[in-house]
Amino acid sequence: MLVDPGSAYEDDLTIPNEERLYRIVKHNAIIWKDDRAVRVKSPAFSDQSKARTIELGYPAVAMSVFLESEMKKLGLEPADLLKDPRWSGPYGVVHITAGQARNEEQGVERRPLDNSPAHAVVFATQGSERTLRQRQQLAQKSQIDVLPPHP
Amino acid sequence: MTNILREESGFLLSEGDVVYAKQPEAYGIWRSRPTQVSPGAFLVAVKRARAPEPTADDWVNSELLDLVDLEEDWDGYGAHPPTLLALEIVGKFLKHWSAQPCRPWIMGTPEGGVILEWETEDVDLILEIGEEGHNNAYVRTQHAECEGPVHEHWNMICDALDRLWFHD
Repeated sequence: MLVDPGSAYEDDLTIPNEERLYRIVKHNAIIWKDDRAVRVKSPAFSDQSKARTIELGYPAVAMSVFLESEMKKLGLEPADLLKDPRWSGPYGVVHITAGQARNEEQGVERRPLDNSPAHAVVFATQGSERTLRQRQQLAQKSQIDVLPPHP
Repeated sequence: MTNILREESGFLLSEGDVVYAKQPEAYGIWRSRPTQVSPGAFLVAVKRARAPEPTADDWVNSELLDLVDLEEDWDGYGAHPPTLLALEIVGKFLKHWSAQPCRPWIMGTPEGGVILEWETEDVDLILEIGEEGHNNAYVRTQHAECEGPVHEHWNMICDALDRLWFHD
């Protein structure tokens, strides 16, 4: 049984507002105008599915990101995230900052994984999941670091 | 040009199409007025001079096919493919909307629903068709903003759709 993210996760204030939070997105998450990428669609900033959340043993839904500071310690660039075989398809990398997330009532908690020490989650501090408006705001503020291939 | 083979008879050649024919072997630009290929002709390949203009139905079909093609874990984060119910609702809406120039951005949701999203100077509208047919919306106009179940914000959603309908 999943609980509200705000009661399951804690915003880590050791992650500064300037910290870039990288997110891997698929090519269908990009708004294309002819061959030019306009911006990211708001569903790209959704929490992961409830089924996946339970499968991973997480207490509540959240959105996976990678912390820039931790990546730098490992000498990793955003494009290096796509070297993981799991992301071998038509994926790209975008980012928001921790401050932009917090401005939309989101928190950021470190959740390192065995194969990904830079992993973290962004979670809604209010309610059961990120709202449509919050997803839109994050999408509008996001920047594309590695463009996925045009579909 | 004679003796061109096509799997389907009735294939239409237009002026400017580049045609490669097998027997007799020939390659060149079709110079005649649009001509229908007759049965028994031998055509190997045609490069169109000009692609036919996509119709509004082409757009609807293309968007729906993109959604239908989504498989389990299509986003890498465990997203489910859109349910048949969500696809049915989206398809009905898009068929009514297809003739409008202000078309939404469309994408699946992690739980198997579909999002339609518009963004203009005057209006932001997001319609979420849930995997079980429940609908939510977010609307922002110059004067107001709201989010929640569609039936609770029906007037504002209709106002937003009107503005988008007449948007250039």
